[in-house]
Amino acid sequence: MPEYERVNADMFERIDAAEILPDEAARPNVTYWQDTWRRLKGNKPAVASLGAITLIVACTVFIPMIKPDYYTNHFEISNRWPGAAYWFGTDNFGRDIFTRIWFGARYSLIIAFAASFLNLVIGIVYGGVSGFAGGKTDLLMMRIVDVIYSIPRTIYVILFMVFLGPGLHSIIFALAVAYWLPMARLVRGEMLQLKEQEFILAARVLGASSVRILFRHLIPNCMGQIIVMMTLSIPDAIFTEAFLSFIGLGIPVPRASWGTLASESIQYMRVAPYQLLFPSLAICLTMLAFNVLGDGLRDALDPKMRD
Amino acid sequence: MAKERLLEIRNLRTSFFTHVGEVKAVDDVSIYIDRGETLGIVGESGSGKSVAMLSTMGLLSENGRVVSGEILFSGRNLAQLGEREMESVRGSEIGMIFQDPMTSLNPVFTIGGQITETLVKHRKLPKTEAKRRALEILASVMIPSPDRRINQYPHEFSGGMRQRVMIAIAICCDPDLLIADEPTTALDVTIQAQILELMKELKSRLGTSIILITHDLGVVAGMCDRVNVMYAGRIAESGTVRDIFRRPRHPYTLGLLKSVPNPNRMQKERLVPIKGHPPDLLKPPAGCAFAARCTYAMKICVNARPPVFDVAEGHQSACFLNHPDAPSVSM
Amino acid sequence: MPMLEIQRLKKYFPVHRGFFGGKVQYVKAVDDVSFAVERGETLGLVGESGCGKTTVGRTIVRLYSPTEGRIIFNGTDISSLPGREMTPYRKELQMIFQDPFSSLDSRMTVGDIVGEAIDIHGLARGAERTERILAMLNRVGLRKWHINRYPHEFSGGQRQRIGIARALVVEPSFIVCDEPISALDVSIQAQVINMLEELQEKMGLTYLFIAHDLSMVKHISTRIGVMYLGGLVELASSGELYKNPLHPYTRSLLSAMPIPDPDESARSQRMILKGEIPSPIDTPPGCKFKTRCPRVEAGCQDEYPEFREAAPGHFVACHFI
Repeated sequence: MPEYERVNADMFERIDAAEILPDEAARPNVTYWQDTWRRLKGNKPAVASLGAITLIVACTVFIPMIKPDYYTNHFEISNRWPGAAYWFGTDNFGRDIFTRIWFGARYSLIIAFAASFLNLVIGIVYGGVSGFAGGKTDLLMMRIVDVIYSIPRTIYVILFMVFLGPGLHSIIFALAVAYWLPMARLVRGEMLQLKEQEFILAARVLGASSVRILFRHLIPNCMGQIIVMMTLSIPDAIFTEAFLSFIGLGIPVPRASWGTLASESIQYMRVAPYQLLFPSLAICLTMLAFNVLGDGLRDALDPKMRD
Repeated sequence: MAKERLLEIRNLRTSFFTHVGEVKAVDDVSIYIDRGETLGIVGESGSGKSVAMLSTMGLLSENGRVVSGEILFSGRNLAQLGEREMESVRGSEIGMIFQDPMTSLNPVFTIGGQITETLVKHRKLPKTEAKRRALEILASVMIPSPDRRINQYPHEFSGGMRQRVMIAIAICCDPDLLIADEPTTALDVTIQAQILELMKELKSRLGTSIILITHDLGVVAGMCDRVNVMYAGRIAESGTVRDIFRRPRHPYTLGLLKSVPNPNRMQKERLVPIKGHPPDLLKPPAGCAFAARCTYAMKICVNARPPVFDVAEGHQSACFLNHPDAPSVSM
Repeated sequence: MPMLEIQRLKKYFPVHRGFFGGKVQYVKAVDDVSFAVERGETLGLVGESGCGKTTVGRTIVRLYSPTEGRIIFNGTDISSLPGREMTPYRKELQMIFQDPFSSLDSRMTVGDIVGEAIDIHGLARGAERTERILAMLNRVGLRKWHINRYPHEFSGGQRQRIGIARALVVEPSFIVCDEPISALDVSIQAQVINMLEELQEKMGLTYLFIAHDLSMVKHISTRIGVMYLGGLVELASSGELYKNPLHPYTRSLLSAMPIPDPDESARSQRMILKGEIPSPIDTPPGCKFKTRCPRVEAGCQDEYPEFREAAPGHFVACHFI
């Protein structure tokens, strides 16, 4: 028998170790969203994007309040290069591009948020009904989606715009009508998958109504995916709006979205490239920030990464 | 017959580095297997039994790392081999079978393609020769009409058949060691019996040593020569299958045995469960990891980690009850 | 009168084949199953994957509507009751699920998960509701402060306790336990089994215990039914079934069971079945077990053997018995 370290006899006293070991009650409560936020905070690019978006939104709200004049022509100062007086320079009519960019942001962002929100609503309702009902209803509703999908979206947006005429309301309407399809598909897919989960079965065994199951269980459980999708659809809407304005179907002058600004400046590109640079930068940076944030959210919400 | 050591793992520590901290999945574990032996590694989820074997094979996920220890296999330390050298060990000298035959086969290649690929890569066989050998192996794992099945894809096979294919791939290069990680957990009882029978038959025919990782004491009792019981990243007890089932010297082993009903007993016996649940490996307790659940816990158990005590020849237990000064208890 | 009686229950799921989904075939998940469960007993239902045991359980709690047959609960046929009329029976018939991870809504606290049942049936409000939840948590071995926690903070065994609390808080009399321990670790399985036995005693529960692990089923059940490919092949008291199995499938199932003892395991005679379970889609006529049966004869090919009483209380469906 080998020698073992000698131990005091009283160390062999019988105890109930569960009583003296630290209790788990001390651990703080963590909700699903707190957990997601913690994970998102660890993602540096996503946090930076969130900061950038907050800054852009704040500027969009406040800068036009401070500098309300974006439309008066001042031909004496037209086409000034960026400098101390005019940070982003002036355009052909002598209007301050810095001011115009933040006014443009109002249109671009309102369009993007409103269109994405409408997509969300239509998508949740359509996809929710389709996925929840299942069977024949689902089959029919999804074939309709397939048919709409088979025509390039830009075509109908342009058709709608030609039909409704340029303007804020029509552009939001056109984007909302054309861009809800991916959201509907996503929600429907999530529903189909969740519906077979045992916690839904348990609710049904308890006698929960369909409405209760839909609103208490199914939709809250898709919410993460929906938010990611919505975040990623915002840059899409910004881009489409810019494109429409660029080809002259967007916001009419003298009001201007980022797309309009870019479109106007294109003819002066040789002499005043900065006039194109700043609106383009605004579009690019905003889209990038939303995309990075969306990716970060997706990673933070991914159940496979939950521990 | 003199025993020849095939694989020896010495003081292995493997950790996973997560954003919440270091998880010591395997903490100072020593395991060995002799040639021709079947070694069972028993433990519950999170006990580190799979991680110990994945460390051996160099198959840890990105955030996992062997922190220290040696893995000696035919004169080399596997813990120090590079990825390229490990690739030649895996599949050629050590074969593996995993729990889920669905995900461990590549769905876009035929079964025959996957076996011949292994043979061409490790044995440098010409294509036609490899194919002939693949047919032989499929027949040896009792897949009916192998000449037809060899050109089929994994999805055309049932769970049990897929596990046979996995075994065929694992043994096609005549490995010295076969590591089977819960090979029958995903299968039905009658199919499990078929697969276990096949493994026994292959072992006696080819002389392959087997490390069988499982949580099922019934499977261990029927298959293994020696058993290592793992708990919370450490070896709780090791010994021959009879030592473990007849003379357990660790309260955890005893608790496991009392938790499962023996269907051969006609009298209904009340199960004695182990209370509580396993510790959080992020914050492992200072003393014995099992102390909080142990019926026999003593003051020393929460203060110090139990060393490994030699209970008898080839029978070790990491429990202070085996200390010469400890009060004797009947288990 | 038995508490629950299943008469010639059938549940077929249509499978749409062909380009327009026009060709319909049927998965005969449950094909003509009859049995009765007496008050206070535990009826075990065993079989391999795809044998229809889970479908039987889910049909009883009316997650599925039966294709044919009757489900008689306390004298009332509930097999075709519409939603609203089913509600009072939902309070009586509850279910415990297999997967401790997917069976709890990860966005709800334990209190809300258990409380949902109380809300749906309008059993209590406010302080009384909280009190009932706490009493139930205590009963299943959880602590008071668990009420505000989310499922992901619990281990598998604790989650299963939450699921049991949710089923029991409405004070049901009949529980379908659908593989409640197969996803749990060995040391935790015994905890849950002991708790189920204890709750049965204290609350006078009747269980239908569905599982594939024969040793646990034998341990907990009064009587055991063995299913194969949608049909019930044998039903007897658990002692009788293990001592004197009649159906060749039951015999092979029992002999395939791993025994947790090295010596007994070495002594046991294994009868290893050939082949695998055939597809349940449009099963051919005749005995369902004919493709794997060691005793198969010409008579088994076209005629389905009748499920009859071979000895008092011992039912079997085989031509040779």
